[in-house]
Amino acid sequence: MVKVDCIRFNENSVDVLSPLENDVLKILWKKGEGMRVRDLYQILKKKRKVALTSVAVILDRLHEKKIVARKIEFGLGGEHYIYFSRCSKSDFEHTVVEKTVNRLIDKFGPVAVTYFNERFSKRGKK
Amino acid sequence: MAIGCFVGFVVDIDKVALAVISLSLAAFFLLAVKNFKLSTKTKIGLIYGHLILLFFPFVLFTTDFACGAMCMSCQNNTLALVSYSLPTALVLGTIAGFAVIPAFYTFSNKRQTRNREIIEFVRKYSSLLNIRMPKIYIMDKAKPIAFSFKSFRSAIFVSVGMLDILGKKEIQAVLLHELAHIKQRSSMLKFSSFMMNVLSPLSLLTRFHHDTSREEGEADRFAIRTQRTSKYINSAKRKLSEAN
Repeated sequence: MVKVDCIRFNENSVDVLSPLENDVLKILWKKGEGMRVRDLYQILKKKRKVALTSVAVILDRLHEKKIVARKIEFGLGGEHYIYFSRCSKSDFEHTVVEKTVNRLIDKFGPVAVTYFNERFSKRGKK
Repeated sequence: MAIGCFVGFVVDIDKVALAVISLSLAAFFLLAVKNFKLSTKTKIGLIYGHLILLFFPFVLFTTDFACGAMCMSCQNNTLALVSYSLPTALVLGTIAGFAVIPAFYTFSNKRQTRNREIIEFVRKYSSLLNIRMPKIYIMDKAKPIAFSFKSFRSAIFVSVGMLDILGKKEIQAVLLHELAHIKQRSSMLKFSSFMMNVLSPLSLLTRFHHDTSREEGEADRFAIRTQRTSKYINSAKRKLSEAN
C-alpha cells in the first residue's frame, strides 16, 4: 500500500510529493518500464539542475513510501537497481484521494460525512 | 593440602531460574534476528544480547565452582555470583560478537558480485599487495556504502546504491581503499571499536576509542598512489557523503 505521509495545500494546488519526486515519477509513468538511476538522471538533467546522488536518494525515498519498486539486475557495469512504478498515475491518485478521505472521516467523523453528503448532493443536482 | 572448601555445583532454585531466564531470552533474541524484519543495528544489538545471555549461565556456574574451590564467601550467594558473572559474560559476549558479526554479514549477504571487471581488478591488486583475494559481496541497499572485514576470510561489501552512483574509476578507488584496509588489518578493529561504542553495554562504563583517521589516510594514499590521482577517491567520497 502506498504511504502518503504529507499533503501540502498550496494556494493553487495540492502536493503529495516533492517537485523532484514528482518529476521522477512522471518519467517512470511515461516510460512504463523499469529504469536505472543513471537513465533517469540523464532525462532529468535536461529539465532541471540535479545531481545523480539526489536522484538516487529520491528513488530510495519513493521505494520506502512503496510508490516505486526495485530489483537488482546484472548488466553492463555490474549490478544495479532497476526502478519501476508500482501503480499507474490514476491508481496512485485514487489511493491518495482514498487515504485522504478516510483520514478525514476517521478524524472528524459525522462532520466529514455530512459535508461529503452535502457536497455530493449539490454536485448531483447541478 | 586443602584443595578447596567445596568443589561441585549446588543447584538451587535461584541459579536454575536465572539460567533458564537467560537461556530463554537468548533463544528469543535469536528467533527475533531470524524471523523479524529489523534494522541492521537492531540485529547486531540482538546478536550481542544473545551471546551475552548465552554465556551468562555458564559463567554463573563456573564462578560458583571457583568460589567453592577458593573458599570464597560468594559460593551460594546468588547476588555476589551475579555481580561477578555478569561483567564476565558481558566481556565474553562482546569479544565473541566480534567474531560472530562478520559471519552474520557474510551469511546475510549471499550475493557475490558477478562483475568480471571488479573481480579481476580486486584479484590483480590483492596479488600486488600480497594478500589473499577477498570475496566481494553485493548488499541490497540503496545507501552507498562500502566496508571490508579481515576476519576468518577477508571480504569487501559494497551496496548496489554505491555501484549505481559511482563511475568505474571511482568504484576502483573505493576498492583500492578497502584493499588497503585489509592489508593493514584495520577494518576489524575499526568495526569492533565502532560496535563496542554503539552497542555494547560496556560502553556505558567506558568509551572505547580507536582513532581511525591514520588508517583512513593511509588507505586513501594507497588508492591515490595506485591511480596516480586523488580525483577519483575524492569524488567518490564526496558522492558517498552527499547521499548518506
